[in-house]
Amino acid sequence: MIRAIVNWVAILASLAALIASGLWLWGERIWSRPPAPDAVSGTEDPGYRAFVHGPIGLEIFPLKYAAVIEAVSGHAFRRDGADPRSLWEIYGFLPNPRATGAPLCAANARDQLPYGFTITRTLPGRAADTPVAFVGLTCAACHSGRIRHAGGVSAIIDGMGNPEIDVIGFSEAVRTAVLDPGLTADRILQAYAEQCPGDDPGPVMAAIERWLIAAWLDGFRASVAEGLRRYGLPRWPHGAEIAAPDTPRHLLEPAGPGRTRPFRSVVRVALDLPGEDNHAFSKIPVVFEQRRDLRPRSQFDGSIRDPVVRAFIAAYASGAAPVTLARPEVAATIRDAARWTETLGIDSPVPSLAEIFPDLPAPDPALLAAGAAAYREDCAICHGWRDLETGRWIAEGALLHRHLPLDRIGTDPERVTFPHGRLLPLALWTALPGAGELLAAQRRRLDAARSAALAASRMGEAQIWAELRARLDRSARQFRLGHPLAFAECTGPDCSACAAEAPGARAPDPACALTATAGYYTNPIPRPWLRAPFLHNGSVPTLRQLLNLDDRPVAFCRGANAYDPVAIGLIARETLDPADCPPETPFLFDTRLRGNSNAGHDFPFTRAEVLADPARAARLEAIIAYLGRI
Amino acid sequence: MPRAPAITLPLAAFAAALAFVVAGGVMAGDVALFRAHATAWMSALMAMPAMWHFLRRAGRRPLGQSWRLWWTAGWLMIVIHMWWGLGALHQWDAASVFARQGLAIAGPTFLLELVWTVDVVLAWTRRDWADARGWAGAWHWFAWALAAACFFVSLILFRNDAASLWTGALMLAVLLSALLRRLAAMEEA
Repeated sequence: MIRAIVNWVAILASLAALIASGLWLWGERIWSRPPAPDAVSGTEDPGYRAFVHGPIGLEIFPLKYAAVIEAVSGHAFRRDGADPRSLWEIYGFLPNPRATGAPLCAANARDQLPYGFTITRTLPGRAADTPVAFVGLTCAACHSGRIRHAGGVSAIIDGMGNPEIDVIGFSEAVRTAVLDPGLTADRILQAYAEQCPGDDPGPVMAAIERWLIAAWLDGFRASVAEGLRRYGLPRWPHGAEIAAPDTPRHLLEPAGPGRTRPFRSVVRVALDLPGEDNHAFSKIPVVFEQRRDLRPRSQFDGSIRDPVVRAFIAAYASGAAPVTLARPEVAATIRDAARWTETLGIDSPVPSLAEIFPDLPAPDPALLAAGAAAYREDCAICHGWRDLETGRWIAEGALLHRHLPLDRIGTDPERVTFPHGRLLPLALWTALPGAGELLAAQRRRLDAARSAALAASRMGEAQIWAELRARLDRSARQFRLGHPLAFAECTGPDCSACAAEAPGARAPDPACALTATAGYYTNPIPRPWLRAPFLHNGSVPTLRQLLNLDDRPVAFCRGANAYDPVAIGLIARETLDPADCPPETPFLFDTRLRGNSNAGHDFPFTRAEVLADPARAARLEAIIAYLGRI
Repeated sequence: MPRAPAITLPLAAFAAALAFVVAGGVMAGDVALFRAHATAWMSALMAMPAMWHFLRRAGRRPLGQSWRLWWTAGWLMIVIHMWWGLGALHQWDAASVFARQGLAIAGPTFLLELVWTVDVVLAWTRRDWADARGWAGAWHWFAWALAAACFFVSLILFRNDAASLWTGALMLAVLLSALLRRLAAMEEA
């Protein structure tokens, strides 16, 4: 009798397990569907949708945690409790134009989450679809911004680098939050239930949610804990483990608002090497008019040829795993968003300085004409010029689309001389396996690089290439048909020039997909007024300072800076003491620190030359007037 | 004491295996890759009792329900393996499997899918399935040998990972034990 009962119980339990498995698999097909376009966007342009709403594999945490993050982890994101701003505001995320101020719940999340957030059901770092919603970043989180003026703030301008977002500080704070042992799935779900009492998932879904959130938390926590030995302890907002409690922010975590340390991340993810000695700070760039004929190479150092490869590397360096990037909707987003940026500002409108500042007096036509002429004589050689009649950017200039060596441009060198930079092109190219001949070429190049390193007794480097070869073999098994974002090493039939690329090369082969050079690349500068602060590291607040019409500040306050349409750039209090910085701009940008130099780009005149000759100053005033219109 | 129906264990094992495949995929780094691998392990594990039964009994005693049920469970799992291995990893492009693995590896794998399917159909449609003679009996042997060879190559010779190796080693041990039992029984007879 007992045996019969056990028997039937086993059979029924087995049938229940089969049904549950089947339902889960059926559910995965539903959870993997992207949201209907009209639910998230007012435009049908797939490029815009991809840029603003499309997932790029950067899911961070569960939506329900995002909803209650202030309540359960607020202390991890704040150094002290005095700042009244929301957690999102503190870190410079853009408020959603559709936000109503209602508590963030699942039902209204698309309207209440900051701009540049998306909702998917993909478990972070994996290719698994689940019933639990996760929030992730889109291109727009970093590459959209606003202008602060006397009347408030402008509408969001897609394509400009967000000068306020503090992504490094935010990611450090997320590490701190996740390591908090008091953060549990139960605590998150309990706080959410209190905040959104009408959102009851039912007992089965609640159990699944608890399991998945706990699994996410365990996995994330383990990954952060493992990374402590490689990345160091979290430096912000509580860096007391590594420095005195009152250490100013800019000395604890020196990137600050509007900047990232992209190559520290790339070195970590592509080479699995520590990046702590990396001071290659980079402001978040604008992505207007990225058309290939205007910008044959992108990045400040011209290290990437293809906009899609650029978009892939941006997501990859920010933490997107290859397996997530291989998801069809993610790969499509990367391609569509990159394509959209090629014509953003050409086919898609971007507001002008005059539209943002309607009260700004229009420049005298004679001054504008003089400025256009002076710009063409002094600046177009490197940047090309805008025809004010047609609005077209003319990519003509003797030094346009060239690598300017460091000794010629004189700007901060860290961005192009950081450790391991020489290894990156091959490491990045082989991060995504191709198929067939492309895969064979990737294997050959890694083997050749290892042989060359061994022959030169660079044993550490040889070990790296051996490990990357093993990684390539593993991922080739994973992506049997090749990764959908895998790319060719070069455009021509012979990649030998690319293979020979090395730091210091003065004229890299333009066919190379990726290069490593010790110089900065000359590209067009459409809408220079939206590029503040200036230079690749954001070390010069205004265009007048960049052109040496005004002195460049030694140190200044950064954060939510207001905009000066006359000086064309950010209004930043100059001070050497972080205690003098106003609450809305608390970060002290000290140009004396490594990676922050504001020297160089003394074109067309040095500061001394401008001071010595008023005619030069007048000429630059005219150029400024022109730059405010292009 | 009444005996438990023969279906209980194979059904429970299949349900547990499928749950492992589904849930493990969610926790693994790559759903499709994990499930493609895990279904191969599970297929081998479930085919093992059937192959053990078969090697001991074929041609000497009726095969019994256990063989038929475990053999069917293993086949069902290999069909699911096809879903992820061919469908998810290769986008149903069989030619790409041949291009990647070569005819010597891909050919027997696809042949096994076909032969195993026919064998399961025979097992459930022929009245003499338990003691088949002639071409049907030969087909049972062919399917068994092909499955053993394919699992041996894919689990042991490929050395994909520790789980595959352990599964292959277990299968080898089970089959060797069945062979020894059969030889011993033949000697006794």
